[in-house]
Amino acid sequence: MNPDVFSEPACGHNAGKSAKQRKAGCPAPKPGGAAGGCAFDGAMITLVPITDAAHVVHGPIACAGNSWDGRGSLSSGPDLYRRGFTSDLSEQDVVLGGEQKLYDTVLDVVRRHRPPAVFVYSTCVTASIGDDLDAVCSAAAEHTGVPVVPVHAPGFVGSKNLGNKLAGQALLEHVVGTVEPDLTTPYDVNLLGEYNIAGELWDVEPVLARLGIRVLASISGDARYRDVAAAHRARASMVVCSKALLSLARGLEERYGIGWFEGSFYGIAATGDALRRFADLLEGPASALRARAEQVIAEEEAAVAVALAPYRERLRGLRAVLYTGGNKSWSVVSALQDVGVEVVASSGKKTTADGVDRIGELLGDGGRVFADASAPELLAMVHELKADLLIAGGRNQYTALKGRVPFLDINQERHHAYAGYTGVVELARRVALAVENPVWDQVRAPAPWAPAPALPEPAAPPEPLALPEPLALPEPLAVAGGAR
Amino acid sequence: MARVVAGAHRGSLDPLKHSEPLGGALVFLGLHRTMPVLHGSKGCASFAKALLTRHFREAVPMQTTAVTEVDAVLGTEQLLAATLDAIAAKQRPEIIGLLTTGLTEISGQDLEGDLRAYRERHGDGPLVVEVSTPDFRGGLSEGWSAALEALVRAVPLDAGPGVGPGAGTPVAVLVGPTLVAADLDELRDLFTAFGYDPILVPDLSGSLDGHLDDAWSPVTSGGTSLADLRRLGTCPLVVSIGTAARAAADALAVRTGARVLHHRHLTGLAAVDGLVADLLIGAPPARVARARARLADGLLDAHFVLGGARVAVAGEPDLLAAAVELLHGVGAEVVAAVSPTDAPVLAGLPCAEVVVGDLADLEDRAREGGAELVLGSGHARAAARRVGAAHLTLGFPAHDRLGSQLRSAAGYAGSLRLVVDCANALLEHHETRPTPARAASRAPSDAIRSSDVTAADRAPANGRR
Repeated sequence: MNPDVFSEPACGHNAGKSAKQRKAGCPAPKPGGAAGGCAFDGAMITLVPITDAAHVVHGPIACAGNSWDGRGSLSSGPDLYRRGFTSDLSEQDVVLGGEQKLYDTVLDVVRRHRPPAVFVYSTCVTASIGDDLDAVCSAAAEHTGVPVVPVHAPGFVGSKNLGNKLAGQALLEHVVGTVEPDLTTPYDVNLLGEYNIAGELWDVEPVLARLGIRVLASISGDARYRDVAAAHRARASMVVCSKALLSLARGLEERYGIGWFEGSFYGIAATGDALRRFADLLEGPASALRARAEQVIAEEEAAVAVALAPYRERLRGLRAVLYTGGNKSWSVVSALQDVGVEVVASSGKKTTADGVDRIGELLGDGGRVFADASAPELLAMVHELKADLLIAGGRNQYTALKGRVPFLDINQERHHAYAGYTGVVELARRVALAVENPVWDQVRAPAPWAPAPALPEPAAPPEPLALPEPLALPEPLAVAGGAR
Repeated sequence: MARVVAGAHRGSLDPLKHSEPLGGALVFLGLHRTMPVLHGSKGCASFAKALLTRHFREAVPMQTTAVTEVDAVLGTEQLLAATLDAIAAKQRPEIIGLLTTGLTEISGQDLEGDLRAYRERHGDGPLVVEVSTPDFRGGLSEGWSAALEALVRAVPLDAGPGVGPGAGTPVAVLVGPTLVAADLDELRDLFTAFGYDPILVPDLSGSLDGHLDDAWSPVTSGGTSLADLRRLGTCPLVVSIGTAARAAADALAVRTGARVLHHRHLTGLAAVDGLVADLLIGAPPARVARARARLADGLLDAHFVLGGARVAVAGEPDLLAAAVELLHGVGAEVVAAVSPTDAPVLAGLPCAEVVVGDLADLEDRAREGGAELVLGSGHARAAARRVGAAHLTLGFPAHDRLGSQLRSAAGYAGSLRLVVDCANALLEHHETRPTPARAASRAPSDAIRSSDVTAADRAPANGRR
């Protein structure tokens, strides 16, 4: 495996670590407390939204069988990415090797679907038995004339985040730079870590288009293989809400001189910020593009203010507990504040030290920043802080419902798009629909035979996460390579 | 009798199969205060948990040992012990179902040895039932079968069976993976109606039927309790419903000396009659007789719609058998029957061929056979759409529709519901299909005229006399 993925210099996690901590890599899960996906899951999250490609999983049935067509990333055209293809190893294959079966499966898939490319994923079992993925991929590519890309991210090497990174590496090594785009403009950009969940990309692209900015490659959301392969011709990249693809951004900069920045499309301020950063990277801070960006931002913000006004009235005083990770733990706080919701607690998991600072600043004195929390701990916090709703990932949805607490899904399984200016208004609408739904009064009412409403006993709340000392980082989230 | 053939693909294109650990975990999810633990990479559990959560629309308890690359090489004994300790201390289950995966099976972990050491140190902990469920062998039904058998072999039993069977007798009812909560309810009612005291193992109708409890629980709440599992030792009769429960029923009967009866499935008049005949003591209760009369009438109503209808079915072996026999019984033509794994029950099905394959096989054969209705999991919906057929969700996962646990298909009432749903799906499909244009609809009669009548006869119509 590429050791770079553990020592990414652009990753804020690493900047704050001692040499020893850096050597130890990303933290290992505690026995009995492990949750979340594996590296293979992460690699699939990053690459499967290349919608016209075929994604073949080399492993036993569980890896593909339990995961195919389970992702919320939408396509405006091809739907090959929603199909499940796997070599489906048997006991005999494990003993004798699964290379021939993988080869045959890739050929079957190419014959049947004629994709522009095939991605092949290794898994714990095939990595352990020593199948030569690279050899099978090059043989299959030669035979079919279609690029066959090996992705080495077996589940047991680490977390979902690591898998995102390894997928980025695979793109750098095998895909980006292999195709020249039919057309380029000086305003072509890449979005890295934008997965078009619930169609979020489609709310962002039109705003960028108002500036004349064209998304050449979204890695990966509603992506086409040729566009990703031509991503080296972009003039700027934005790493969207993800530390995991920093190494891809840095690789694109080193190899092709593409400047980049980290940003978010959640919230009015973050979206405006992203537009400005793009303008600055593409033409400079004193440019006509920057002036156009300011004009578009002013117009969009005025329109959003009008659309949000009734919601801000309705949602005033509403209290929410937010549990998400990475850059989203501060950018979504900002988006929620835009729509008038008071965030009384937010997690700092998978966030860098400056990210935790940022959450702390946004929440103010009354807010609580916590580390990891289990589902019952979250419920306890909702009760203790008298919150009106829980905003978290799908894994906590049913826990919230069992606690009769309104819930909004903010992670990858969500069904609604919250990015950009349109997304802020949708967020307001969905928060209102969640808390104002008449169902809550019904299910909280006691049964005819019960003397009083039976509310869940709150468990002990988790320890608040101590706010670390401010770190001597260059500037919060201003690692923009292209500005150098 | 059907010919059982292999599908067209070496790998799997749109898999129909699910893994053994998933099937095994389902057994433990049907036991009260239980935690299934997947011994493998943490993705093994997170993917399975995510899929089960989408299917049941419920929080699904599941833990992982989170084996890493390094553990796979150096051994997992300490990791396993630490995981079991943490779960016993934190979630406090009464039963832990420990399921291996492909990773831990190939890395040669000595699970039994590891557990022996653990048990010596913690004699009074939860009952740990270990099951060998490598992902690269079998499928959901085989994993279920292995876990259920391991459970009835491992569970401590109360003293041996009394005499019987007779009214009030406890009966061990071991079920397969294809019965949903509503099926289990009906099954329990059927036994109770005849005066028996059924112990359903496992019982997903108690744990994952979708019910709003007063409090949230980190382990299963509802399902077969450990006390009831002990009582299996007192049952003079063991009944298996589904071939995936057969091995476990035999193992239990051998342990206790009970009489054992096997039923492949409980769908259709003949299948339910078979079980009722076994249970019958004197005259049947009025409500059972009424339910049978309704099913008989419903089959008659449905035969007008489903007679001659071309149907494609995909599912776990027992469910496939249930659906194919029910549909064949009202005159439908099964043009495609696809099972994820081979099983003895398949060869007896009343269709020409059963394919052991994937959903691409289902799609190809449904298209070739001109299927009008596709029965299969939520994953089969896209295939049905591409073929231009109606789709009725049946089997796992049913993530495309609400209420998967209420959609019964077994017992007199459940069979009636399934056959009525099939007929209605077909009616709706025919109603919503675009009506042929008028000119097009006249074409056949024009064609008849041109072939059956002479040119002279046709002349007046042309106005050229």
